[in-house]
Amino acid sequence: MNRDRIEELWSKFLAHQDLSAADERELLDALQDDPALRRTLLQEARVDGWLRVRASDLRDSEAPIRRFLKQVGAEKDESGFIKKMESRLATPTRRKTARPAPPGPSSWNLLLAAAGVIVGIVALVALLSEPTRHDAPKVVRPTPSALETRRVVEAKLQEIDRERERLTQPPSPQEKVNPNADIERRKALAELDERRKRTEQELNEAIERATPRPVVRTEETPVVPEPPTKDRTPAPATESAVAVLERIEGEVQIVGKDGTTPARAEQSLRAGQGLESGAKSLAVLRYPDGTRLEIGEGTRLSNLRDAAKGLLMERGSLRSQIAKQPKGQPMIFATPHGEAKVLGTTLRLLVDPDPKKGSRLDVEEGKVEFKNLAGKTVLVESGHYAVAAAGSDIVAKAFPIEEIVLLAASGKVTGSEWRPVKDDKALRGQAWETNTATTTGNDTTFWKDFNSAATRVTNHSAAFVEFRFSADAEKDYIIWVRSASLATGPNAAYFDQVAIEFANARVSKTWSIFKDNPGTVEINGHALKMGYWWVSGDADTQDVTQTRPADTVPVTVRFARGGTQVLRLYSLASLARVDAILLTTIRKTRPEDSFVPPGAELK
Amino acid sequence: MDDESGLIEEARKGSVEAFSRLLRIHQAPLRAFLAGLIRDSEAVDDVAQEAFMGAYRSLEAYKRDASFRTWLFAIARNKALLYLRDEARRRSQRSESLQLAVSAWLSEEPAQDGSAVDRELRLLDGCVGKLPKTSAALVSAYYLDRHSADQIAQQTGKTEVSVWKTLSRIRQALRECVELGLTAEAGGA
Repeated sequence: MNRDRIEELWSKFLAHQDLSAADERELLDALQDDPALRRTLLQEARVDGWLRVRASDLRDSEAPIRRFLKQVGAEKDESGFIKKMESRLATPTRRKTARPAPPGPSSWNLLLAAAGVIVGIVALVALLSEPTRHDAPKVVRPTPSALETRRVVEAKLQEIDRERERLTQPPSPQEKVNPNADIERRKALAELDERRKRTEQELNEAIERATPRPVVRTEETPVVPEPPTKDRTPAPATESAVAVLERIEGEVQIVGKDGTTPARAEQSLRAGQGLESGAKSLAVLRYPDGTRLEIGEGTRLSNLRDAAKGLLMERGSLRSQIAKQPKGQPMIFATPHGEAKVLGTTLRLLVDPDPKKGSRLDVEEGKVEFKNLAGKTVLVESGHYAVAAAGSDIVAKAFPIEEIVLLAASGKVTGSEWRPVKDDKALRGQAWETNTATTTGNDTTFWKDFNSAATRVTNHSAAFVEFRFSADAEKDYIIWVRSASLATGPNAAYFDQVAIEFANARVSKTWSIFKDNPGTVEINGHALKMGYWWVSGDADTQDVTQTRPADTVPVTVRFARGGTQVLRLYSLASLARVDAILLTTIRKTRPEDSFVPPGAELK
Repeated sequence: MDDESGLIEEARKGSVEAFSRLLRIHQAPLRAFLAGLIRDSEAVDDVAQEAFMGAYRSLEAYKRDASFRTWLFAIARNKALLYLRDEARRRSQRSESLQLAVSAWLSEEPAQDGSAVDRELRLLDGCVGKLPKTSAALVSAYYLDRHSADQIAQQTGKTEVSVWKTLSRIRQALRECVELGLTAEAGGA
């Protein structure tokens, strides 16, 4: 393997350059074959990410804040928002603007100085640090319509964004670097940011005023009737813009009455139009209220609607984050097999043209009403899914469980063979320790103790740590136990054996000592190396020449029924600490020693 | 109130401005943390936005047994893992095994908390400041001014391959510099 070549390919990969299939193969083989190289390059990817973030902060550190404010604004109730907005614009008060973000770190300024562009940044920082200036108080024409007011402000923001995008376009390959032009560009960007901040501030304050405050209702508090809902009569279907194509990749077509035309980014979609994505293509649609649809490959949407927002999804997949919709006016996703009514949530929808496979709805956050063609409706809640298909009932079910992480803190001890300990090296700083053996034993005393412990496990008289969790039935979960041996000396390899017993389950490998219980697995071999690491089954064959763990085929467990399961951890005459047990359908090879399973990262 | 707990209290009462000020404090480290997990810069910003919105919507659920940053980072990490899972699913449908493998490896990287990210970013800033002039110029042209490797090659009279390799080595050198700094700090602690 040529290191130069791998560094070149990795650099291109990080820059999203197209690599040929052969190049990809070469890079993948190198990463798979050499864990040290892989670690170095993954760390390099992290530095690459940091540099990109630092650079984008120097260009525009307020962008993430603006984006957040825009989405929050969009999620507020429209009528309330506009009312507050109108009130704000009609009241010309002077307000303090948001404090500008601090300039980039000084070492970056040094870097810029080295690159000869420091002048532009100094100008930028100076402009950002100037005392706040305001436009003259705005004069609003008498009683402008709320919608018009909002459109004016939004148009102003869009114009600023377009100008910013033009100024931040990367130069063409032919264009040489011109320091003077660069300085001018940076000045213009700084002025633009000032303009945007002022406009944004107006929006921000209006949003804040429109934010509903918690109301404590007592029996004496009169109930204020809700104002009538705003008239949302749709505009003529062919005229109103419904959403904007925020991003496209690959082949994406706009579908209209007169056929299809190639789509382009920033293009508006009108009511009645649709969208079609080809293979290896995707599109992101954004509605004015902040609702966002990520449309996967091979998807066809039609009949986009504005008022009573909705669309018909004929096939394909989408993921959407839907802003809170006005009361009584859910967004409706119609499919050939049913429809989903949404009031504000994150969901996925997959539509198969085959009516027997139907439409599948996954709900990540919130609740969605999902109705099939037979008219039956189910409420699909967060963490659940439902399928509307010909010939089958519609039922909401919990997402499949692919991975279960059991940490020390969730175990409950019975008996005296295990004790909880604090350990800085353990996940979340806690582990269960067993010290039911001593390393002074010899072969004879060890096996006597071991057989006695195994018998107590079999007849359920041994002490244990019990874990309860949910898992699916009829699914093979690989068992990984994270443990550290405490034994030392020539016989250390004996004293690292524990057992795990699953209720109503069957493990993929059986041990003669547990032949009467198909749900018990022996975990052995942590003494092969120092510290905590992951073992599945028998990693230690007790051969003194062994240098690598022998559990190359992980042990799996299959539960007889879904729902709550019980696992018991036993000691088999061992000196060890166990800090985590991982049951997974995903990680088929041994996790790295440093791997921290999801949910175990917080202390 | 300017301190963080004051801002959290105001944000809990509904102040978008207070929450924005919290984001000003935490957004850069959070995006840097996500950039360590996700390669695509646009996706980093998208996931950061999802984390900000998630935190904003569930601020009531924030308990003070962990710092705000720890809580925010935990939300971001969960969003990032969801993104990587989806990404892996999409990639596997397109037979993009390299992307798939890298996403999986990145998701298995040890998690960092907010203070670890802060420490590493601070050290990285110091390391960037110590780069030789030519390396600093290359980093600035590539990351800050977003010139392509091809453009840089044309302007410096080098080959494009050489630019790619040099960038890779600068990043590795920066990483080594950060790790040395971490070791030195651990030794001094």
